[in-house]
Amino acid sequence: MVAAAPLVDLLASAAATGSALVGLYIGYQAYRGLRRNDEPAMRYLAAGMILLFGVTYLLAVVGQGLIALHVVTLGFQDVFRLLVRVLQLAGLVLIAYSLHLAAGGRIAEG
Amino acid sequence: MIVAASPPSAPSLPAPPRWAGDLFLGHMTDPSVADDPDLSTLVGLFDDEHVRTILAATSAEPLSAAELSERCGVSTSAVYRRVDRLVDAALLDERTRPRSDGHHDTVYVAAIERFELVVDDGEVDWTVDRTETDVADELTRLWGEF
Repeated sequence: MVAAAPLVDLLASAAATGSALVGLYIGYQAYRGLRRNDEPAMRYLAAGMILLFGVTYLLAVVGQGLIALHVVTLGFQDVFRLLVRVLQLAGLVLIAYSLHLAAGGRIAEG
Repeated sequence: MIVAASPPSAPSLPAPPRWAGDLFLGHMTDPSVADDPDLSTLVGLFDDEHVRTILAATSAEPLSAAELSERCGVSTSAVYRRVDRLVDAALLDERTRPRSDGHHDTVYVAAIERFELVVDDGEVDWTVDRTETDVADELTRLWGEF
């Protein structure tokens, strides 16, 4: 069972990278939707997705790297964790706002 | 007596929900347009000069009925007649475009890329190659429908 821990770590990293890539793909399509359809709701959806998946992932990787390389102490782990959570919240708020913009557009239309 | 073929008026039911995976896999064939319209419907449409102008203009950029009426030099009601037939035949797609006052205009985009008539082996066959629906446009549409 000793060998299981690195494998689980590796799988967790792979899954995290995968969700970051898929999240960025959706964010990219939302950005293209903004360019192609001039739909303001897509701006916030794209920004939210990129913040939620791209920026937080990058921050987590950078944080882990800095701790692993002893650039910062392990105590900073909680700081990075807090930052990631705050950015996730900000990303979700942007997506929720985008949803309201899209819904508002439909009400004005009807 | 020759009766001009007109596409059957589709019932105005909401489109069936699409499988969410279509958004990512790009298989966005709408089941309602899987079958090509009759050849007489298609040829009847292509025979119309204004229909050709509408398809050509909307293949370059999305245009509203008012803009199309300007391009064709006919009334908007004449444009709507043609646009409705084109949309029924799935040769034209409808989209919305936000206006500065917060309302949305309906704009049209050509959905046909190529029409092919094949005479071979004792048969006449035809195909309509449609422009592939863009994932980004589908996402925009779906997001607005939530």
